[in-house]
Amino acid sequence: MLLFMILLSLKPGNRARIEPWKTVPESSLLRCQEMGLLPGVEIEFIRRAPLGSPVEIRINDFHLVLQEEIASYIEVTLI
Amino acid sequence: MRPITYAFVGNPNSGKTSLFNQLTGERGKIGNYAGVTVERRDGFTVSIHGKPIRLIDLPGAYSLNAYSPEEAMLASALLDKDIDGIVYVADATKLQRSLYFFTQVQELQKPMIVVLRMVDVAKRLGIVIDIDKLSQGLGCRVVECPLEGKQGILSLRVALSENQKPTEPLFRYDDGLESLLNTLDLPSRGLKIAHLWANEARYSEFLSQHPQWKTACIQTRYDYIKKVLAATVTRTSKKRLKTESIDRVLLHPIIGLVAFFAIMGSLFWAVFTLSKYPVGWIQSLFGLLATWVEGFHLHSGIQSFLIDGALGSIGNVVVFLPQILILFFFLSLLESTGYLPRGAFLVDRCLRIFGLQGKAFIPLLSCYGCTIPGIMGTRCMRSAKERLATIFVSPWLSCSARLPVYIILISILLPNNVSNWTKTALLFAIYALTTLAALLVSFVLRKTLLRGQDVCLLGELPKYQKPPWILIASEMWEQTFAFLKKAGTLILFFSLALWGLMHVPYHPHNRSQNISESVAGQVGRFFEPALKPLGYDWKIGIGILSSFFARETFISTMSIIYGLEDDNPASRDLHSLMLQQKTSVGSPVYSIPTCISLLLFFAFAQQCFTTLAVVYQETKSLTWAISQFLFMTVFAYGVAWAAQVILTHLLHQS
Repeated sequence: MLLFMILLSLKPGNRARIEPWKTVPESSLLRCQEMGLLPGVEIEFIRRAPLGSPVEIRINDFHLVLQEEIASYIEVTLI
Repeated sequence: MRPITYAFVGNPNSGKTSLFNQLTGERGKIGNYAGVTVERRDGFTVSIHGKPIRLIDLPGAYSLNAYSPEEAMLASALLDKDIDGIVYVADATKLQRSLYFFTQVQELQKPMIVVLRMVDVAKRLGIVIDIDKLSQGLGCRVVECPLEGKQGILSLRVALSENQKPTEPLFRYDDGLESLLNTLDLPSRGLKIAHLWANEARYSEFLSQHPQWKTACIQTRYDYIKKVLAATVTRTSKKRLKTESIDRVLLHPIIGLVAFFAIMGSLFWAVFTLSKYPVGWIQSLFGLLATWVEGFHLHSGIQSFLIDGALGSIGNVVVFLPQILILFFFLSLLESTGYLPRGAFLVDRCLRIFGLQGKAFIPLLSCYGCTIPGIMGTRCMRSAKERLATIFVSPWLSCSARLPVYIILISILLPNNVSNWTKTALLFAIYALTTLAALLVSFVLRKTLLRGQDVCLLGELPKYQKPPWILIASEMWEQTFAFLKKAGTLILFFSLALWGLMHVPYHPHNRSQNISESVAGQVGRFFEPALKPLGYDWKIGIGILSSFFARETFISTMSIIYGLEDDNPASRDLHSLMLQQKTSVGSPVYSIPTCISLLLFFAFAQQCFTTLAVVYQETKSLTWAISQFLFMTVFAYGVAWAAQVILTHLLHQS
């Protein structure tokens, strides 16, 4: 079963694949893409910070911290 | 002949600086987060043929496209004609991410060497890398360099001694971009892409046909890396890093926050409690020195010059060395182990309320040590407005130079029998109050003058590292040296000059009378009307004026004044001298309102001219630097005045 959702709504331990996504401003989008947040890449949701934001994910063998706003733009499919 | 020059580049936390230190024998600061190397550092090593090789350590980055002032500096340094070759440092445990930046640097078409760090950790995780195939895929020499052992350093030295060829393009972008690149007249592909990236609007025809060309570029680079890695790297196990288990505790919703406050709390507790013993030793040492000088039975003027002018003032400042060292020990421990980015992760939400982000946490925390590195540390921040706000409030995060003043005032405010816990709590309260005030100012700034959209926060949580004790020790030593140098030169010189000014014009008798008549006394009395509302007499006035020179000078100045007044002091310890001071009506000078008012004045006043200069240098705006200075000093005056008036009133009533 394929499940479209936003990255922010994943639960700790969930694994997902990134779908094509867009955000403003463009510099934020490019920065994220340069860090590896490209369509087709597999990620694992690790945790939210104790106060709810930001979120920590595992991508390409490293741990990335993302702010809530960006995480709510990124569309993913659960795997 | 100019020595051949190699630049060291790589992602933050790639082990770049420690490699640079090993090769050059220098002791550059290593921190486990982005932004440690804020300036480029130069060093030398020798080739295996005995020729000198110049090495340049540049700040870590994830991309050549500049998003922050620090990355802009890196990019312009790399394009420098002086650089003959590049040593690219990659982390073997996260090769894919590490090599993205490589693909950009590679396009500069300079001779390159790739150094793989953390290969030993990678092996433990079951990551097997075929070095020869990797070297083929990347089109340049690849050297393994584990954290321990000397073999890796040796092979890197060999590679640096050989003639490396400039790199050839590894892959092609799509045809549209390639044909546009061909029309540009710049010496390398990297420069062409960088030019296009920054000036895409000039190529409207291309842009209209390829609106997403930047994303396509990024995709092409990652695709190439994936292709190379698929052929060179095999994973024999799915083992995870120990870091992940540690984070399960330290970033736990409840335990994580408790641990955060415990760590910050123990920092302040240690500053107060652990320093008790070394402080005692230093005090007795200076006591012995004074007795030794008295033993010579010198002329009373010379004896006073040596004992009150030199020993008394320096002794009372040097006493605070242990506290400052403990503070720096904790800060560098947190920094080198990798806890700071976790701290930023935990407090991000809180900081955002005030218009800042987690990224501001690290520079702000280093401000507790010294404001200067804190302000320099803001270069890793991407949002210019947020960075300005951080710089503006940073002097309110009490630097270590204020610590001696706080400690002496707190010990006068609270009687001796009060427990260390209460003193620690009061010290903590001052830090908490000033920090909160700083955040509130930032909040107001971000709602008014510095309003603007936030840019996204992206950060890496690096691996935890064992504390590098040798480096921490050398950092301690450097701090001790800097502090003693300051005490032995600037503060000593100032104290002796002040001692002199207190004796001009010279009256051999009735010394107490002559201080208030002396040049220094007259200056103090001239300013007295301005300080009277705050409840300070002209002696404290001299102390405050001299603290604009360096905050610790307040301590040495007060010891000189009180030491001179008292012909035969029972003790030269400033604490007891201050307790003895009485006003003309016989009440203690250091009453509760005056102590609190002084505490607040020192907490909020911007008295450091080096900070003023650094703010100007970093913001490129004299208006910001001066308005910050005026705002803080006027604010400090106002708060100190309010505290004096309100507390006097309350105490009078009760």
